[in-house]
Amino acid sequence: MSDLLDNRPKVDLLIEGEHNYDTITATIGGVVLDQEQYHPTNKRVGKNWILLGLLFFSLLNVMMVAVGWLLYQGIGVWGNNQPSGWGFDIINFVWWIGIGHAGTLISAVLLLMRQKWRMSINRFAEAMTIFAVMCAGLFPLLHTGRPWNAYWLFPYPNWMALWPNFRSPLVWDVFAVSTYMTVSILFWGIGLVPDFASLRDRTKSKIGKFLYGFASLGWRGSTKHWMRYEQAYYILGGLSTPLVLSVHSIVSFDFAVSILPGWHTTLFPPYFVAGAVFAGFAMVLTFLIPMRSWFNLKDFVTMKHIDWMCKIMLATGLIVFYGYLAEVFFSFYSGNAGEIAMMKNRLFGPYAWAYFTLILTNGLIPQMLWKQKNRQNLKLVMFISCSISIGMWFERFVIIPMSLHRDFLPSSWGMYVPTLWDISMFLGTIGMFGFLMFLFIRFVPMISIFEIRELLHVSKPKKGGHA
Amino acid sequence: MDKTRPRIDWDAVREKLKSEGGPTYWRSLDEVVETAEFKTWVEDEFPDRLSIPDIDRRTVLKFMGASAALAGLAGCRNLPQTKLVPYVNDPEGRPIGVRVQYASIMPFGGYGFPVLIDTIEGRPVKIDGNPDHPWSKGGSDIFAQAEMLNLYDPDRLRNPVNEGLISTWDAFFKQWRGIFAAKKSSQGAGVAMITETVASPCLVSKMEKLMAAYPQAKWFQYEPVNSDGEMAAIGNLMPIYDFAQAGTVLSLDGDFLSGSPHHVSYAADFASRRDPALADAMCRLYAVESAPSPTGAFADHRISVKPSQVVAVARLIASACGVSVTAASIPEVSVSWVRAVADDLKSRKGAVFVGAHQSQEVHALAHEINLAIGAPVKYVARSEGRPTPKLASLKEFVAGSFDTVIVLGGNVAYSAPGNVKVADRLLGAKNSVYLGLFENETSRLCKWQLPEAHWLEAWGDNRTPDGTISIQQPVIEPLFSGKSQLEVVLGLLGDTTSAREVTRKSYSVSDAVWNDGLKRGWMNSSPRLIPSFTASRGSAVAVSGIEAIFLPDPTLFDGRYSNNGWMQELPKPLTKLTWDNAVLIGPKLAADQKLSDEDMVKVTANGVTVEAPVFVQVGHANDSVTLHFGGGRTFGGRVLQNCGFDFMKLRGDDSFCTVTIETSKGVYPLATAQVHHSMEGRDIVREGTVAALSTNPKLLPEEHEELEIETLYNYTEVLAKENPDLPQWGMTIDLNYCTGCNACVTACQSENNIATVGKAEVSRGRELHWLRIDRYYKVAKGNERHDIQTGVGEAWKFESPMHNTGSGPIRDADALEPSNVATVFQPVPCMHCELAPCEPVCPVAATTHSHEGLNQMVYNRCVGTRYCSNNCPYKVRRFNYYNYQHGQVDFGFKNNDKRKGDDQAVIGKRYGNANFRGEEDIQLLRMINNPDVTVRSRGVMEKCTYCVQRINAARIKSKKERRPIKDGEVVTACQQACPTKAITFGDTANPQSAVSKKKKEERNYSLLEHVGTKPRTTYLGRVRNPNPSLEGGK
Repeated sequence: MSDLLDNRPKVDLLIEGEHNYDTITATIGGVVLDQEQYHPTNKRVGKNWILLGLLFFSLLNVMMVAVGWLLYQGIGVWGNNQPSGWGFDIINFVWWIGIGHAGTLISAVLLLMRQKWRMSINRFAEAMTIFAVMCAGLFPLLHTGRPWNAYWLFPYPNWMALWPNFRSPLVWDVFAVSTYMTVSILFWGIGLVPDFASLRDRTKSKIGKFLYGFASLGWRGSTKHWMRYEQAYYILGGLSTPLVLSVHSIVSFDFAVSILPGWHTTLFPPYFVAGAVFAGFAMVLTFLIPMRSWFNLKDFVTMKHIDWMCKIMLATGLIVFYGYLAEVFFSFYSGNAGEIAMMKNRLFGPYAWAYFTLILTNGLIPQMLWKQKNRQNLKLVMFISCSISIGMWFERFVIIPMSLHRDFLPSSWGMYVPTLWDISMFLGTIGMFGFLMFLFIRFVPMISIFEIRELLHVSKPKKGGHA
Repeated sequence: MDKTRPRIDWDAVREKLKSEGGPTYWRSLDEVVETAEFKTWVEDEFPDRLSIPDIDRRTVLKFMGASAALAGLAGCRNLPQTKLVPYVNDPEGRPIGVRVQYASIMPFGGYGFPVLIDTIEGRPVKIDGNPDHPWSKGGSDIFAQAEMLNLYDPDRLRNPVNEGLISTWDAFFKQWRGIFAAKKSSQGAGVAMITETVASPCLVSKMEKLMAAYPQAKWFQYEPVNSDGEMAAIGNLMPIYDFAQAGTVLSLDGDFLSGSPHHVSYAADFASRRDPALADAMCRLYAVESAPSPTGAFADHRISVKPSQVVAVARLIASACGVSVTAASIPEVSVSWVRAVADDLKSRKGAVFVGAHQSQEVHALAHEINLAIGAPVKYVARSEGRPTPKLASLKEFVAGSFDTVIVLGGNVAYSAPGNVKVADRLLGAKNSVYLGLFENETSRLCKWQLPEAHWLEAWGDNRTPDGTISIQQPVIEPLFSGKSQLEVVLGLLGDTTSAREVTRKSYSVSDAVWNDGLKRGWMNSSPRLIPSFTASRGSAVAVSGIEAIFLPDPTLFDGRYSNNGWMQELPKPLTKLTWDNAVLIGPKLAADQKLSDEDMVKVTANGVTVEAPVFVQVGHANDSVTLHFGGGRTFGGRVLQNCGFDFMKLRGDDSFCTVTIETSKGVYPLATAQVHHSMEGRDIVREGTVAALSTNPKLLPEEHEELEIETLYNYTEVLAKENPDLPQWGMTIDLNYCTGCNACVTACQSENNIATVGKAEVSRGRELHWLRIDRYYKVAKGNERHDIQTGVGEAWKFESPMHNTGSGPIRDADALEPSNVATVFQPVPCMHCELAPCEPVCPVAATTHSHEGLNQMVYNRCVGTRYCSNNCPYKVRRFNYYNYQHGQVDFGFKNNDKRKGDDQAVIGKRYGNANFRGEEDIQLLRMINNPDVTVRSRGVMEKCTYCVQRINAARIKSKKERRPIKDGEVVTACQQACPTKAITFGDTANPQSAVSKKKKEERNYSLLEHVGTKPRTTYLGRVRNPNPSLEGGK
């Protein structure tokens, strides 16, 4: 903590407004508990929450129908074909996994690096991680021709003594993603225990008391609890840290390990990880900017937070952009006819529009973040974040169907076109993600109450906790 | 407070407080006395922060190791031992699971094609050519293979039907014998029999008997693919070519390498003369054609002319060969070309072959040339009954007046040219009957429709075109109540003898000879050779402007295979179109009329207009269109619904005529199996000239790097070392012999239970053919060839896959000149790579490598991630996107009949849309399945297995006989079907095997060698034999 004390102004910007322990709990917890008396200015749950929640809920239902139809009919309802065995399914998988990465980075890496500013956004980002991984996980499961047998990818003891093929990157994926999911849930859940206890103590509803009481695992706030808590939290932080790098590296192996031009490249692991953090922060901002305004949380998610997140986006975006340029360069530099043809197809082929959409949305538009003024313009930041989300999706489109559709033998070339069901499935997972986020906002404190209190504590002694 | 807690010892407290070292402040009395409870509480509340790191590394690792080991142990269990008890006594005479082969003869165009039929437990499952018969030499073609599906087609007629009501054979014979009895007085006046060509001696004799009993009755014959031109030119003669003797072949619009089972032996003979080892003696093929065909694709020199100009070329060559004829030169053909062809024909034992549809004059000139140059062609008397020019015969029927019409087979109402109004005549007849396999356009016009017995169900006999007689031996009881044409004629004669007896009695041979003939597939008989004849040239057909040529569809023939899903889905050799025919035009006409693929046009000829989509066929003659008939049928089954366009309506008296093409509105989606046609400069199909073989024996492309693929683990060596006794399977495909005829594709489909998927699925690239034939166009300039340049990198706009496949426009001016376009074929099955990229990526190890080098697919284990397919550089893997085997595919697309739920009413395009009979039909179709091959279900990847079931059958046999598997004992389905024996399969570990010898040839190369997959399937480059004197051009 000494570093924080030494760096006073930074701390000050992490909490704005007049706050004490009680107001912090009331402001954040009020969203969940719907108790006006805790904070008179709290807008509580409003029209926006209901309307957007309904929208997401209906999209979720679209997903249910899409999944049902898929299970009933088979993969044929999607646009996948030969040569493009993968399409929207794996694009969406990678896209969602990437989005999850901001959460892990914020919670784990920044935790270990003692970056206190993470405290305002980590809960939110971690929730996003979990929901994004849930959305992501649906795709590899459902993209199999026989999803009811998908458990064969797990190494479980069985009568025929059959193991999965450990050489396959898809098996690595199973381990990577399931580890990621487990650790993310544990991390998030442990972090929530003290806050659940606060809510348990404040809620007036009986059900709330029971549920929050159950979730808080008998938390009394004793020294021992805090100590255990910190141990567990740091251990999990340590466990998650390699995951930030490993999960998306392994996902990138799905492509890098294959022999297909456009996939077979050593560039992928770092470029995928950077892209994931890039996408993740964009998605955090996309949700956080409206939320902090609707739920009156501007004091805790300050402009400084947004500024820092923009900077991370800019940095990772530059890595990604470098990756794009390197891909072009190495394709031609390799002298390999297949690589050159693949790159020409990207630049001039029938899907060139997708490639240039990617360059525009992921490469060029984020360059606006160089300017401090732009980073403070919330509308612009929102626009850039959305642009990055779109760009990251197109990045996977460029990699997956655009490499597959024209490979080695021109006789097998074809086009990939998604069907209505592909699009429904994709929108549906957005619905699921959004709906889960909305439930999360409503039932779980979206900012870590106790950590904000801790921030208040460290910044209080001299200035009285204001800006 | 805990009740059990001991009371505080106050003395001790006081003592403590008094003592000097006691704490000054205390929080509780417990602290003061330092009770054990207090200590515990303190420890609990403020636990030692170092507790976790205290556990030493070794302990952590021990626990981790133990957990992992225990988890692993849980997977190890002994398999329960069970025993299977076989039949105590096998059913007599019916060996379970053993294939029994029968020889028979398949009628096609009236004449027979000798076949062997595989039956398992009394059920025919596979048809192949009879290797001992000279008319097949073991090869077969798509139609022979497709007969299997025709047999089990659920759409077949099942009962005699009288005016829409189900009736019986007895009722039919009772009524019709009555009709015939009534006709006795008028000697059968007003009775017309319409058949196709009939070459069966037995049937002919019974027909003649019927005709003799009713002298006024008429026998008409019609089929749309006929020899009218040839018969007009040379009378009742049948030219039988001996291509094995031919040093030069000139094809005048004739596709003698594919298109009919009767071309199988021609292709085999021709191939025997294409061995590059023959060097200069290698046969040279010249082709003059309008619509590109496999023969044209194979040709060393190909000239593309309008159909009407073929006669001009024939005159030029005839004149140069010394036949007296007035010849005028045409711009498409140079004088030097004609001279070169004529010289070759004369000096290299040439033969001229003419397409059956060509005009009388072309036929006459060709045979005059053949006589003049002493071509290896023998002329035999046509052995069919009453050789008749077919169109004239049909016209005679229409002109006459008949109240009693008997139609035996065929489909005259559909296949008659538009200007011959057969339908009215059939409808007008007082009594009419149709006998056929299916309901069709003709049967619905007749009062009676009778189910015909499939030739696999009925006794009879037939002749091959060269006159050899074979017995048509049934291999299964009629599935429905069908009767053969012979049986119906017998019935009309009042003859109650069975067809078997009739057939047997018509051969006065001993039982031993008879049985021997049955067993080997033919009876001893000698054709009548005709040594000389005079050809009659007739008059030329007058055509002007844009011409249309009417040709039988490459896969549907004259429409008789329209209800056959295999044939509908089989990509046509050149266009690769499936499920539809289209107006084929050349790129120049397309450019002139601003047309592109799938644009609708109005084609008008002989006063009839048909609206159909165009398809741009590179290499198609300018100012002409090709119209394939056989598509666009309207009635006759569920598969043929909404497939293609009926161009027969446009046809007049001749096979080509003047047409007008007008752009119409809209587009019609066409499903092609291959959308890109250029090799884009990649080293895919190697070819070269026989002359260049001496300098470039490997036929390497110009820019070729010799690759030393280094590997730490030499799989080939390791496999051979570890398994010295096992064969190492491998295949070679000699592109030098591939004609692109598709026989292998259909044979594979039949052997391996490959489902058809329907048009919508093909257009999504989801067809399931394990073996596909890639077709690439090249530009031929002189004797050099280069890939067509395409605008692959130019298509900036988004193109809908249904309309334009995004393959990029052709940017090669040379490719617009049709005669410059060359075509190469390349069959692509699974390569069975030694370092197969599909294997490591499968997460569940569903695709693995066998010790014999097979890349195996374990369907049961497959979960369907499709990763293997993505990683396959050859894209030979096929995925069951739907439950195609149960025809589920159409549920979401076209099927209107949703009455019966998933498995039943949900019908694939394969089985049509309406009137599905549900589970019964599925059961019937299941009978076609090869029981040795797993039927794949939804969500499973599949691919070529090298016919592993045949390997295993050979292994079982060899083990029983305690010997290794012999070379040539395992024959894959594709290899067996190939007329030209382009495919060789066997043990590559045995240096003496045929496949090893092939692989040692210089021309042997691996496809995509640079990827390092080490394919077991390798190719041998194609060798052309162009005329050196035509180096400069045409």
